[in-house]
Amino acid sequence: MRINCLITACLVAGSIASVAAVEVSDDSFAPAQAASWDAPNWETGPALARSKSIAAQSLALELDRLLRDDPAALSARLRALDEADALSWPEREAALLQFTRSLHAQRADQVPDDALRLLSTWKSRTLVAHEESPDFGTPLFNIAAEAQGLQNRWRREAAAGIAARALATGAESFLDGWPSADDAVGQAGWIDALRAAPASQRKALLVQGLQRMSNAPQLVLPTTEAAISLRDHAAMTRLIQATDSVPLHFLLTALAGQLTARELDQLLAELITNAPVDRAALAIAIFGRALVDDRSFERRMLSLLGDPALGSSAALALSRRPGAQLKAELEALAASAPTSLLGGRARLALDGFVTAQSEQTP
Amino acid sequence: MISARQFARLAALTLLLVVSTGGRAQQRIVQWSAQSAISTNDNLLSLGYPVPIPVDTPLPFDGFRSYAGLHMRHQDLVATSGLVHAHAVGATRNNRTIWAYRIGDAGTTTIWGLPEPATLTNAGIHAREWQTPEVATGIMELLASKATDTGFYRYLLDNVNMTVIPVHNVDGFLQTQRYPRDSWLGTDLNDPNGSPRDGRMRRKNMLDVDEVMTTQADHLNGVDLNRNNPPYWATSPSSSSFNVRSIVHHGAHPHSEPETQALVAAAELGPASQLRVYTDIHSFGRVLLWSRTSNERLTQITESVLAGFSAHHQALPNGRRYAYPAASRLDPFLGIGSTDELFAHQYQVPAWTLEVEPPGDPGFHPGEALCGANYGGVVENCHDGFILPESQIRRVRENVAETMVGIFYRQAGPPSITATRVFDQATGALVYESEWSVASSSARTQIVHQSQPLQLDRNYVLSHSYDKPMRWRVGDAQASFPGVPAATTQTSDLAFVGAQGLNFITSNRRWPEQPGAGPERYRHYRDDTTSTDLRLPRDATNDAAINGSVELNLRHADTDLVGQALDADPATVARWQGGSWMDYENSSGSQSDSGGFDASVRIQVSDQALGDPFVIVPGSSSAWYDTARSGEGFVLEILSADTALAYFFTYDSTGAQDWYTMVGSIQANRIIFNEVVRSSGGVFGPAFNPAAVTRTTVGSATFNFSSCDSGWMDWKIDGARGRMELSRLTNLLGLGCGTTNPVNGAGAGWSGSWYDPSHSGEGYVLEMLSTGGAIVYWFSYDPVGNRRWFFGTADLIDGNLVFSNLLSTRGPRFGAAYDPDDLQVTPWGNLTLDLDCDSGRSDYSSTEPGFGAGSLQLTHLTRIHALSCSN
Repeated sequence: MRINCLITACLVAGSIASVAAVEVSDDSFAPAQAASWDAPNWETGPALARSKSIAAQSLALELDRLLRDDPAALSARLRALDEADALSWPEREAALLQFTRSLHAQRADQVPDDALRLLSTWKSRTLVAHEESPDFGTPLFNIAAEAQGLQNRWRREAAAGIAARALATGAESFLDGWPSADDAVGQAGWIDALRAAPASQRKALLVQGLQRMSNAPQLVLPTTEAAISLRDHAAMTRLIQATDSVPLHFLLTALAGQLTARELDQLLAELITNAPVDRAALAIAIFGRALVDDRSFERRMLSLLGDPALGSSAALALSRRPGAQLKAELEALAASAPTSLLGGRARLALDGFVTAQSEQTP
Repeated sequence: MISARQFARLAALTLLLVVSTGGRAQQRIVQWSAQSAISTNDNLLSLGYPVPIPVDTPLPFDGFRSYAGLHMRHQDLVATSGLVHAHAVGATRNNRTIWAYRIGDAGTTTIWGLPEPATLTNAGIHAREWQTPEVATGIMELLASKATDTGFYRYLLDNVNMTVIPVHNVDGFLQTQRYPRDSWLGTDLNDPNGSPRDGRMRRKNMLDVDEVMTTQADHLNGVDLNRNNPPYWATSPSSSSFNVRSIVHHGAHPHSEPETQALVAAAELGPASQLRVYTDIHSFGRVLLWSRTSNERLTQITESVLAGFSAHHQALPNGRRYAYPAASRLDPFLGIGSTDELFAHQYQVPAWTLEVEPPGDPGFHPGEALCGANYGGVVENCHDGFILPESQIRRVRENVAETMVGIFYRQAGPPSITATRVFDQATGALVYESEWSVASSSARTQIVHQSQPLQLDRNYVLSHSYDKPMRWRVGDAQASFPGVPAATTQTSDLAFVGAQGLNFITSNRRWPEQPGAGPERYRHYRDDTTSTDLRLPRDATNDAAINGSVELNLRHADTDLVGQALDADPATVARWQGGSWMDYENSSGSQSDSGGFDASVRIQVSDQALGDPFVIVPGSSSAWYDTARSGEGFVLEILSADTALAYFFTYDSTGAQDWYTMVGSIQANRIIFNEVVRSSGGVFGPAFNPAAVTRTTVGSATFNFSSCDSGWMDWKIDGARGRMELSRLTNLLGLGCGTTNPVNGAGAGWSGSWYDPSHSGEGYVLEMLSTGGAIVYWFSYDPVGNRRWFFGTADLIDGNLVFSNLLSTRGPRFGAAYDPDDLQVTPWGNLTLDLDCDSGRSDYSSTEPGFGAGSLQLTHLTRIHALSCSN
């Protein structure tokens, strides 16, 4: 294997191409040897220049041809590339990266598993200096990451297929199967299927989900998705107040775009009174944007300024409403109770006007 | 023959190859997108999860806060917590304030009176790294939420000055939040197709660039603030650049940028001389990168700090493994101009770059999903690692903050023993005490009292206190600090006479749960004190070593909750100096960075049966003073078997008279006064208004008696501390003590405190003396409200106590500055007390201008335990 030492660090390191690193083992507080940390061996510019060779393009085409015509030989070719080849590492890895990216045009079953596994665990050899630490190399062509992304996509699509079939069987089947989607990729696939389902199926799922979620909080996510997609305000409102696991940001944003100002104001009042602080605070932030000219919202926020938990949310919401009358009210509050929490928050709101102005282009 | 579809794929592949390998591609603004399929649309970059959009909210949530939300949160913590202090440390290129926040109490000295160690944590230096302001804010939120903590966190808040810059590159951060979906692609100088620039992916500050993304000409400008620092500024041709459009442009000269100047200013909040660790929070990579110097001790300490970080974080629920390079792989003469290099080389503190998750490199994290793939993303561009999904930020924020606080604890300093006490189990009496008192920023003085030698075959409680909490709690239960093996934190005691080991049996190790001064109490912070049962059996081993009364030497070993061993020599204060610990001695007494066992405790032990140690009796009621501090002292009244009252007559810092009152609980030979009270608002004479008197708790005190006639006490008042030896000044009529028998006589029951209910807030403390006559202390005020006290002795004349020459004093200053030679005693006037058992009358006449003459109707307020009174 020929390593191209083009930078000072590599020359200083001499023959050291692969350097050891440390991590902490579970049973000792002392540093211990662990995965290798490699020194950089290329500069980005020369590596990219090398990677543009005709040979690199030919290699990418060769890999694509193997996939198309002789998939069984693909893995062997990839292994050979990992072991020895006439091409430089930038050439090999640029070709591999683009081959990996091109696989997005394939179905999962068209790519041999072992080939994908080789790509997703590929140990990069074209290493440029880490942006924050010149002693260490970082992949210029992150083949493993790209292949893992591809795996995620295919897993997600597979999960969506399973979910779609479950949903076609019935809402209960979908909800029964939801726990099997036990990571972000699987859940994303099931949600994809839900989004693509007819409204009747989503409605059925919403009804079932609302019934079952008190005993199965993991069902909140698909139930919420169904409620948002169906624009079912009552269900969404119920979900906000239901559990900690609700994806609150999305739910509130959806409601802010769908409810009338009066409905938003009523829901906000309910949340401020009865919901946990973090939910009420987020509702103030999101509904506040939707209630731009709503004087009732301003009054509510003014009354909240002295609240220990929510006062800062109110102050920020008010600071985003640059009206002369509101500013005068805040100044009066700040002056009337300068040492109180209320007065302090009024001052924070007034300071917030300045911050808001400073966010603009000077 | 290939099909049309195959031909199209090959054509696309060829185009991709040209684009990806550096062929000059179309320069365009692309949008990050939630879609999971890599699009044929050249203007989208797929994430596979929703694109986070900042929300204008101050409170933490499952998402990212806008700059306004973060700033409101910071300022609100300042306004409401009392533990966060705002400092404007500079302004950005676009003249926005750069804020630093000091976290902790307002003071800059520890509860021991030492300069507080300092930490500095920087975040948001690179604009696109949104994880980092959230993590820095998480540190502030975590610490500010612990105001009522009694252990680990309270210790940090009281004793460490923790500075955080949550958003360093404010201009750049706002630019990324202005364009949370957009970036330029095809324009980077080195990697045009792989490296998106500006908008959401802006890294640098905003020098010579406007805030409008569509103006392409300037969008690459700016200075990489992590390349703008000495000592390695512009020394790395591969990692920094003179080209203003390079993503690693280092600026015109070191610290050319106002943002890096602000970082230097923030270090002075420590101040810089007290700095013990610097962290620059970045993303991404889940690695700890650091700068090695030629200081090998600093190198080893830094490596150990990072080991602690890595182990702790991995051990947290949902924790992740942070990798870091071994020192042997770092070149101390190589750098890029980063801030961690600045602090490692010029400030000589452990300094590092914390790259928050996700991992990005298969070499550092083999077998793990990288970049956005770690969260289910599709990794169309590995820069998606800068875009943490909203669903992950709460965990990242909270976990990293928790681990960072563990680093602050560690670098606050190694543990040192502050006191060792031995209590007699049968009586509860304190028989031995060794306490270390801070004498200067580099030295402590050991003060030892022993009221009785330890005896063989007698049961004791051995108690050690430290200058920091030594154990971790999960809820109320002790647990290993995450990442620290339980075996690391072990406590042991061994005893020797000369080189001969004793049979020194300790058992039932415990960590008291309640504050206080007894054997089962912690001193300042929960888990700063450990107690164990102790017994020296009368056996062959001990008989051979202990002949008569000899001195045993205790060797005590313990570690703090992160595994740091004790400073073996508490006489010198372990502190940070020149890039390593100074005076952190090992067991051999040599300078070290690892400590050892404490051998500072020497206790007399006897093979004789000496009986019970002294315990407080009613005859302990007396006036007490320190013979080295004539002119101030205490009047002590034992009111019951378990309650005592004391008056402290002393001076203020100017030499004017002052006094305090305190009511305490008796525990064997100790009296614990949890509240020392200062009374204010009274005035002398008829204008006295009891409603105007206020009583303020200003401290605490503990009295310890080793015999009938001697003892010692320590006090804490207004944050200052002191200690006084106690010698008996008076013996009360009707009370004996030890071998001193009581002397009986008329009026013995008058001893105690007297006051006029219409003058609640001033009064007399009367002692009827066994030698005949009486002494009175009158605790009052002057006509303008200054606290005053007058005293004198009396003869009993016609049933009245006549104090014909009451005296006043002034001169010495309170506390350590006290000099008895400054004492001036002046006549004040006279006083007559006409008393029966329950009530009486006082008549006074003063010669001091403004006091005049008058009388008070008295009630017997307190009576001395065991003294009866009959008319």
